[in-house]
Amino acid sequence: MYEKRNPKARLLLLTSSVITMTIVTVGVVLVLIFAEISETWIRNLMIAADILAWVVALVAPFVRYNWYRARFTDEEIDVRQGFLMIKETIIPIERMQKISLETGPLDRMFGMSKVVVYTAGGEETIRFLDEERAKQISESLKNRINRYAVSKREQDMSVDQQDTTMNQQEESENV
Amino acid sequence: MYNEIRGLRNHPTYIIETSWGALLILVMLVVNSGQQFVDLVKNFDATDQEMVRDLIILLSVFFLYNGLMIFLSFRQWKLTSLSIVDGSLTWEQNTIFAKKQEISVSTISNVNLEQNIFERIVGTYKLKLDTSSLSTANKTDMKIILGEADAYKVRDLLLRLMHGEAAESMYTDGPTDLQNSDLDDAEKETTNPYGYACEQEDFDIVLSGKENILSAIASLDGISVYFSFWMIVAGIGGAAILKLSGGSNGESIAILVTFLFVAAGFIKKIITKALDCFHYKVRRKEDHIYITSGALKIRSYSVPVNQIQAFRLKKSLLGRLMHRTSVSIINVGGEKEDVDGQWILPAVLDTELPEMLSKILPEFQITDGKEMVRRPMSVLIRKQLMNVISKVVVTGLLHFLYFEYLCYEWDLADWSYNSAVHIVILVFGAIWMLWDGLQNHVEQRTEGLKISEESVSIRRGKLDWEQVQISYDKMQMMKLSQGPVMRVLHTRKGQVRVLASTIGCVQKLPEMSEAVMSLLRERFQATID
Repeated sequence: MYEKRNPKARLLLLTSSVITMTIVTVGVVLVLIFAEISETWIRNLMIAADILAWVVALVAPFVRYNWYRARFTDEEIDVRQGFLMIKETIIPIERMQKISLETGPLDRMFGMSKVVVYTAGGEETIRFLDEERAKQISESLKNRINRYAVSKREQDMSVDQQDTTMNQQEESENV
Repeated sequence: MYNEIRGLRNHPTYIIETSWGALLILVMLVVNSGQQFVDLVKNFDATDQEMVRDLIILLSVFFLYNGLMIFLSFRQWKLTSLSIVDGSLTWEQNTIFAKKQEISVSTISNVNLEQNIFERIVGTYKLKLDTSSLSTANKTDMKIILGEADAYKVRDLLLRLMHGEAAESMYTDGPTDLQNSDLDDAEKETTNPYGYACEQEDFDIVLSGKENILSAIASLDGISVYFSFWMIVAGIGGAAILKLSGGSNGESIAILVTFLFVAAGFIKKIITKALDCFHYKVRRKEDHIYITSGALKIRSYSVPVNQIQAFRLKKSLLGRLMHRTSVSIINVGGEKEDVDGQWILPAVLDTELPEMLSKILPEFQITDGKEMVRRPMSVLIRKQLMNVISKVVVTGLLHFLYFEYLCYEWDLADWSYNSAVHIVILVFGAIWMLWDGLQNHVEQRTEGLKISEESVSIRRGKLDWEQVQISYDKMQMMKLSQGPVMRVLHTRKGQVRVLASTIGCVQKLPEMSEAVMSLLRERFQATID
C-alpha cells in the first residue's frame, strides 16, 4: 500500500517554484535592461522563454504531486516521482547502509521532512512527509537495517562454526 | 611463517620517486646558473649590484622551495608506516597533517603490484590496496613502495588473511628484518602460497606477441576510428577550400598534414594498449584471479572473485570485424584506467573466449546475443523519425546561419562558390542523417536484455557494444523511468546500481517494453523476498 501523500506538499512545491522563477525573472530583466541587446528577436525570445518557464513552474508542482508515490514493505522501498519523466526506484532494505533525516528551510515552513536512504550504489530521497511520519519511517528503517545486520552476522557465525566443526572432525579422523 | 608486520616503511627510493621534479630543478639550477653566477661575482661591477642581488634572491627562493619539497618527501618517508596486526591493516602518517587509517582485511577487494620504469631499474614495487568502500570507489585506498621481497611478503600475508588461513606459527619479524630485504634462493622456493614463488607457477592463459598486437588493434574504440576518419575528411576538405579561395599550395599542404597528424593519434592508442597487454598472463587460484602484464609499467593484479560486482564483455567496431571480444570485471576501487573496471582478458578471438573464460571465471556463463530480448520496433521508428527531423532542422539552421549572417561577416556575399556551399551543407546533412540512421538500425539489432532466474545480461551499444552481466544479489537498487512519449509507446528504460566507482556503479538498461521491465523488476524483487 502506498504512503498517503501530504496535501501541503503541493504548496511547498509551488512556493519553491515561485521563488526559483522570481530569481530567474529578475536575472532576465537585469540582462534586458543592462546588456544592450539590439536584436529585437533575441529580446522577444528571452521574454517568451521566461513566460513559458513561469507556466511550467506553476503547473509542474501539481503534476509532480499527482505522480508521487512511496511504499514501504518488509523487504523494500518503492518510490515513484517525476514531472515529464516518471522515475520509479526500488531499494531492498537489506542493501541500505545509512538513513538520514533532512529538513530544509521550506520544509520547516510547512512542517515537512525528507528521509534519505543510502546504499552502496547510491541514494534516494523520500519526500513530502510530515515531520512525525518522517521520524517514524526513519526509526523503522533503522531498526530493520539493524535486525538484518544482526541476523546476517548470526548466519555468518553459524557458517564459521560449521566450518570449524567440520575441520575438527577431519583432523580427528586423520589422527 | 609470519603472521604480522609492524612498522614497515616505504623503500628509501620513495624520496627520489616523489621529489624527482624538485631534484631535477635543483640540478638544472646548479648546472645552468651556477657558473653564470660565479662569473658575475668574479667580474663584479658596481652597476651590476642590483642584478646580482636579484639573482641571489631568485636562486635562494628556488633552492629553498625545492629543498623544502625534498625535505618534506624525506619526512613523509620517515614518518609513514604500515602495520598488519590481528587481521587489521594500519597506515599511519605522522607528518604535519597526521593521519591514521585502519582497514579491516576483510574489506580489502584488490591487492595489486605495479612497477613503472624507475621502479624496475631500482628493483622496487608499488603495492596498491583497494577496499569495498564507496567513499574511495574512484581511487586506490593505499599505496606503498617496497623492495621485491617485502612487496611479495606483504601481499602473501594479506592474501592469506583474506583467505582466512591460520599461520603455522605466530612469528613476527621486527621492522629491520623486512626493511630492504632481498629474496634469497630459499625464499624463491618458499612455501608462501602467494609469495614470489607463486608468480613463477604456470599460468592458465598466456598471450603471444602477435595476439597482443591484434588484441590492441581490436580494442580501439569506435570514437577513435570515427574521429580519425573525420579528421582525414576535414583535412582534405580544408585544404581544398583553402586552395579554391586563393590560398597557396604550401598553406593547403600544411592544413592537410596537421589534420592527418591529429588523425594518426589512434596509432598512439594502439601502441599504449599493446604495451599494457605485453606479456599478458592470467591464472585462477582458488577464489582469486592473478593477472600479470605490461611492458613499461608491469602490473601484477590479484582480484578476489567474490568481490566482482558485474562482469562485462566489450566489442569495439574493429573487434566486430576481427571477431574479438575483451572481458573486464566491475568492482570497487582502482584509479585512472582501472576506475571503470579492471580488464581480465584483452580482445581475444570469439571462438577461444568460452574456453578461456571457463578456466578463470567458470562462475560466469556468456549469454549469446541471440538469446536476448530486443527492443520493440516502435523505439526504432521513433528514433528514425527524430533523426530525420533533427537533421532537417540543423541543416536549415546551418543554411540560415551562413547565408543570412556568416557570409556577410566574412565578406563572402559575392563569392562565386556560394552555390557550392548550398550543396556542401545539404550533402553534409544527408550524410549525417544516413550515418545516424545506420547507427539506429545497428543499435536496434544490438541492444537487448536476457532476464534469467539469478542474473540479468544487458547489452548496449551501436557499432561498439558492451554486455554486462549482473547477479540480482549484487544489485544495490533499480531505477526505471518513463517519459511522455514512452508512456504512449508502452516502453521504459532505467538503470541498475552496483557497488563500484562513479563510472561503473550505474549500469543503464536499454529502452524495452513494459512487460520486459516488469519481469526484470519481479525477478529482482523475488531475490529480495
